[in-house]
Amino acid sequence: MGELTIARRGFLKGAASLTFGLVLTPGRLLAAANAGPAFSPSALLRIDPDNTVRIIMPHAEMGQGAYTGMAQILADELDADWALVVAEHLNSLDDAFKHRAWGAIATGASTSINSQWPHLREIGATARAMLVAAAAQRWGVPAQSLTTSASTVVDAAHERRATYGELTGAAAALSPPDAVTLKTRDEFTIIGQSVPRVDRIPKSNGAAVFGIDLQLPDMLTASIAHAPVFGGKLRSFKADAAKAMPGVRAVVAIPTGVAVVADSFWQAKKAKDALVIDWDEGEFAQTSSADLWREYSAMADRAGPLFEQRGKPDFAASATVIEGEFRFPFLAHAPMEPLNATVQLDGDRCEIWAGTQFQGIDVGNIERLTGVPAAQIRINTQWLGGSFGRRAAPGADFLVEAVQIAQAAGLAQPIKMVWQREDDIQGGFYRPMVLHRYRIGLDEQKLPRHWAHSVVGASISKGTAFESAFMVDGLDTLSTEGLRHTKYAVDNVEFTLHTPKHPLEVLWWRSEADSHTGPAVEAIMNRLAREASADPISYRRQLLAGNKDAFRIVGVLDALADAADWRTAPPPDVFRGVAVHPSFGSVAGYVVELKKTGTQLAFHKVTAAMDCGLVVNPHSVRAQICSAVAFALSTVIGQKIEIERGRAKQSNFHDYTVARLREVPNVEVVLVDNGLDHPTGVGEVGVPPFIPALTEAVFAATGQEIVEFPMTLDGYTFSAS
Amino acid sequence: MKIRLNVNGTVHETQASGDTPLLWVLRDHLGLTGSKYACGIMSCGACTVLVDGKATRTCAMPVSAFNAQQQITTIEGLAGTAHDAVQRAWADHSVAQCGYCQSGMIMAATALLAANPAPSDADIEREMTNICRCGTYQFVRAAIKQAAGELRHG
Repeated sequence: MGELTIARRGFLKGAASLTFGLVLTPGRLLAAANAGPAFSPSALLRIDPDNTVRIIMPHAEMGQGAYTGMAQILADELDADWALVVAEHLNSLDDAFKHRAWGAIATGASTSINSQWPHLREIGATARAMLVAAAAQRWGVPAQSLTTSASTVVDAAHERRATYGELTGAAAALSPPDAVTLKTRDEFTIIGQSVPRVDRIPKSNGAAVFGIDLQLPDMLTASIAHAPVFGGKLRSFKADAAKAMPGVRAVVAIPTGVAVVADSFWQAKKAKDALVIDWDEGEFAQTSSADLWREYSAMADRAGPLFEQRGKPDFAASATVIEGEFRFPFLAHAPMEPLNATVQLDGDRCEIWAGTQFQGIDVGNIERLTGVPAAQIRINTQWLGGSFGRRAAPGADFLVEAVQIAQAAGLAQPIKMVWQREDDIQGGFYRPMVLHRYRIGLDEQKLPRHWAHSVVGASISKGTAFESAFMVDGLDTLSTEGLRHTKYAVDNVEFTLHTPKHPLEVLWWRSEADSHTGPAVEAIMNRLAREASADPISYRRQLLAGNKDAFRIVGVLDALADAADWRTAPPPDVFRGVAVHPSFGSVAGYVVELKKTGTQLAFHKVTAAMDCGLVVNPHSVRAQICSAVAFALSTVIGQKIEIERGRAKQSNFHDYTVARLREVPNVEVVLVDNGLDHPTGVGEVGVPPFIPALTEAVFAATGQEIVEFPMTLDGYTFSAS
Repeated sequence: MKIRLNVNGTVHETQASGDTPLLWVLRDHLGLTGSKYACGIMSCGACTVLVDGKATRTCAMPVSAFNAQQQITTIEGLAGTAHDAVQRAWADHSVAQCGYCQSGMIMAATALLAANPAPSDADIEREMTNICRCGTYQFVRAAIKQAAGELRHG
């Protein structure tokens, strides 16, 4: 065993905890059925006499692989048999499950695995030490003479062994050790392996219960008529026809519209469609996207508050000045599972079943809404059918809505609120639409010396509980991250942020601000390299050379150059683009190669390089890069929300397009080891740089600069293959 | 109206209005929630089931269009060689991320392989039109190839 020793914190004494004897998942009583005492040295871990290693997950699984990665970390230090490890959803609001950096139960910003890294290791190592101590006591031998592997304590000298399950009772009676020794990197057996996902079976046989699948006795379903215009208000409604329809139990007004509660989804939906509603559409009904772009453009030209300033840009002193802008539209998250939540209000208790990233934030919102104390609120986390940030709502909008329906309906039965896809696409909480406008002065060597840049976009955190966490000097860092503190060396910098306000909500969306700042900065770098007639990788390396914090970016660029055979000129019909971007503690980069046949562009090859520190599960990282490519590609080839007379023009997957299999290229992924000894972010890191790598390849092939998303090509068509 | 459907080899009877989409009869009346609602306009394929072996989107297909003579198969009732190979390949490749679209994806892949045990890349691109917001497509391709290989070589 290795040398790293850390003090114990927060372990439960007399660890035969019965807390999880109460754990219920729908239709299944998990814990109570097991005979004998369980060993639960931490709220996150329980080992049963049947050898099951149950890890109660402090972060939500929305596809990103957090459950598998977290389980690997704990199981490795525990020396557990991977086949016996079970991931269990959280249904507790216990402090033990708080985000280790944020102080509330929450999932986001690509932090699950890296924030839990030392803690899950400590839990696993502590449990292992206690099981070894229990075996040592039983056999009357020193603990040091025993080894562990595959959920078994082994006494090699006496040819004895005991499974962890056989030791649960004895281990539970022990006090945790004062300190434990963690493994060194060469001792890992599960960390670093592409072990299969813990959720692969229920997610390939239909058994996984997502929030929308929940079935409870006597459950009712609610469907909502939302205001068609952002900022619209309910004036009045006629529900006579709806109320007379079969299965309808209640029709209620809530602050966001009118809800119908019925026996089944289809009955609720049909009755909702039969409502006659008079909306006060409000002022925004006069506004369309073109108006917003005009407003944004005028703002960008005005002086505004600076979020970064160094020296003083002097364009008169520049040999060359280039100018340009980028326009990024509003984007809906569009997780495949429409938003939903099931609520049961029972006197002074409130129980909720939902896929949410924000249990610790949600509970405060529910408490304020209902007056039910947090101790009487239970949130049963479900599998999340995607999220991309949408299920991390500072105001818990979709849970609040479900509770408001339950409050207004006043029925004893649990009510499942189900949004339709249209509610999701047209419901706001979008990635902000953002205008970037820049002016850059180059010296005689065509290196940037002066950079003025305006960002125009609505604030995500202002007016929410997160305001104090993200606002710096009155400016929302959620609008500027990824451009702020760019690693590229430019002496004179003035970066301005303008923050327009609209009656529609904006929200973090996979990769947050980096989803637009990354593409903007990297497209600028590609343009500058062209201006300098320089190789874009060499040009970037030159601008990063003096920055010792940029070694991971340089490492990724070098790995990309090798993997994509960058130094060899491509065939005459193949056109390339490159980009790299640091975000969420990691660095990702791409080389995109397009093949041009006449006026037809198609993917030729896509190479990705990723430095996410110590890799817990290589398959997971590759899967997240492939995922990021599809996510980013969608925004280039078609995805946008346009505002038309105050409404979202797009409504469903026919006009809010998501890239399909035929459109998405296979990706060769290279994992780059720049020497970090811990994991860094994965899920969101791959999105930003794919966009500018692709648009640069498009430029190389067509001579057309892509500055507005989604792209439109003049005289060319684009397809995957 | 009274609804009679043969789902997963069993004839079920239930009451629903005839315009209820088959998906919602499966989910809300028969408790088979493996088939998913995601768009309601038969665009994304999350609701795909097999009707007499053919991949069929059900979220906007009225139940009145079906009868008990048709064999409706959902993810819960899927069994047989093609399916076993597909499901094994899906697990081997850890295809699922959030997993919400994967029932429909697996139904589409099963129907594809039943009709065409050796699909080319172009066949896969033409037939696999379901949306996966997590972008698992590369792994879907690999899993279909593995399943096809198993089916060919037994």
